Formats: sequence, C-alpha cells, structure tokens
Amino acid sequence: MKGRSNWLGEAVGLLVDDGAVAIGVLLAVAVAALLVGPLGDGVGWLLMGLVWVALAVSLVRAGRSNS
Amino acid sequence: MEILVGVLPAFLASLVEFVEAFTIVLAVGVSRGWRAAVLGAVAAMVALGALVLGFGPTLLDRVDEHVLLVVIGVLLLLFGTRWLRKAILRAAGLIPLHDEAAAFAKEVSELGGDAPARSRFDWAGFAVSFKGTFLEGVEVAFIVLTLGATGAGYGPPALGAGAALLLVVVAGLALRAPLTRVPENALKFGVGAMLVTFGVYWTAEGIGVDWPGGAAALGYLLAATLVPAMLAVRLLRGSAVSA
Repeated sequence: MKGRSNWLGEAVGLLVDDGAVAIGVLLAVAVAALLVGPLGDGVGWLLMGLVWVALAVSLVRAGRSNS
Repeated sequence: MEILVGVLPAFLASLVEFVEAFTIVLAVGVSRGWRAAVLGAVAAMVALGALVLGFGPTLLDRVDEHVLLVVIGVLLLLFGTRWLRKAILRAAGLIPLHDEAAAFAKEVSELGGDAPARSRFDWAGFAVSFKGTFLEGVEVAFIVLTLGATGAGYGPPALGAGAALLLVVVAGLALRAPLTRVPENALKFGVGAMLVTFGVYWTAEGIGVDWPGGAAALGYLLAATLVPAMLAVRLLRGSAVSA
C-alpha cells in the first residue's frame, strides 16, 4: 500500500505543473490590468497574446529538454 | 449560449476525470473488494457535492462581481494552461499519452497482497478509493464552481458533470474494465482550450474590457486559442522528428 501522500502538494499541482507558466499568466493579468486605461478594450487581446507567450516559452523549453 | 458554455466544458472535463477516478475505484474493487471501493467513491462524491454547495452560493452572494470575474478568470487560466500545455506535449509525442490500462495495472499491483480478512472493513482500500475519487473530482468541482459563478448559474455545469458521471458509471458497469478507448488527450486538449478561452474572456471583463459581440466573443477567442495550439503541436512534432 502507498504511504501517506502530500495532499497539499497534490492540491497545488491541480493548478500549477510548470511554475514559469503560472508566473507568466499572473504577470500577463497584472500587465493587462495596468494597461486597460490607455489601451481600452484592446487589452483583452494583449492578455491573450501574453498568455500565449508564457505557454510558448514553456513549450519551447519542454521541446528542447526532450531533444 | 450561456447554458452551452456551462454544460459542454463541464461534461467533457468531467468525463476525463471520472474515467481516471473509475480506474482507481475499479483497481481497489478488483484487488481488495467492492464494498470499500464503492463506499470510498460515494463518500468522495458526497464530500465534493458539499464543497460545491458550500462555496457556490458564497461566491455569488458575497463577492463583488468584477473581483469574482478576475479571480475566476485567473484560476481558469492557470487550470486551462496546465491542461492545454500537457495536451499539446502529449499530442506532439514529447510526453507519453495517459495509459488507463497501465494505470489500472499499477494500482492493482500496489494495492494487492495485504487485503484484510473478509469480516473486517478495508479502511485502507476505502481511503485509496476516497482519495482517488476526491482528487480527480475536485477538478470537476472547480470547473462547476467557476463556470457556475460566472455563467447561467450552477445548473448547466452540474448537469454536464452529472451526465458525464452517469455515462462513466454505465460504461464501467457494462465493461468491468478500465475505459481505455476514451480519447483522453483530445478531450483534455479541447477542454484546456475552452478553459483558457473562458479565463481570458472573464479576466478581461473583470478588468473592464467590453468584448465586441458580447458572449459571441467566446467563439473567436476559442479559435484564437485552438489555432496556435494546433500549430504548436505541429511545430513540436517537427522539431522532435528532426532532432
């Protein structure tokens, strides 16, 4: 039988498995919130773009570590 | 539209999670006995239901709408990017696909060997079944809570989750084997893209953005998520082949 497992670690793991992506997403939201004044409704697309930047960086790193 | 937004992602995400939970319950049942396996799963479902009923009304009644949209949007972005990232890497062949049969075999080999006498209740088996069902189900509860708080209420996502549970239970009882033919990665890819879409939509709305077309914006935002995701799979596959 398995021993006691780390419930807190597993709970955190439900939201985050690559810390860099999570930080990137949070930064993207912060930047969007700061720029909503000057950029108006266009900041929605900026948020989408920044989320994709965070994802892309993670995917490239994963791709490199597998090659 | 709002009902579809609530039902579909909840149904698809729940299908994936309940299949994984079923594998664990099946492994406990086969290796240690069905009483503990079923009771553990039922206890977990009751706990999850209490979680949704306990937090749901609180979220709607006590939190400012804009704050709620941003918090839920961010949680959906974190959750959705996690699912989408893994699904892209699996589709590109960089990490192995989730193998339900292998997961079942591993659980059975870890659980077997020290089952208690039939007269005693198997608390260890109950704990494994409870924990497995609870951890898989907490992702479902999370999706029901977030979609319910920002959409057309908790009914549609709860209906989607309930339908998925019924489908998995019926299929599982009929097959009495791990549900290996469910296209898990395709489902996670789609659900991950949907959750990222909702996350961007609601976070932006929470900080004051008015999307052109209102709720119809979810359509073009989903396209803006899926297209780069599929492109990423092709590029990563190509780089893996050429390496």
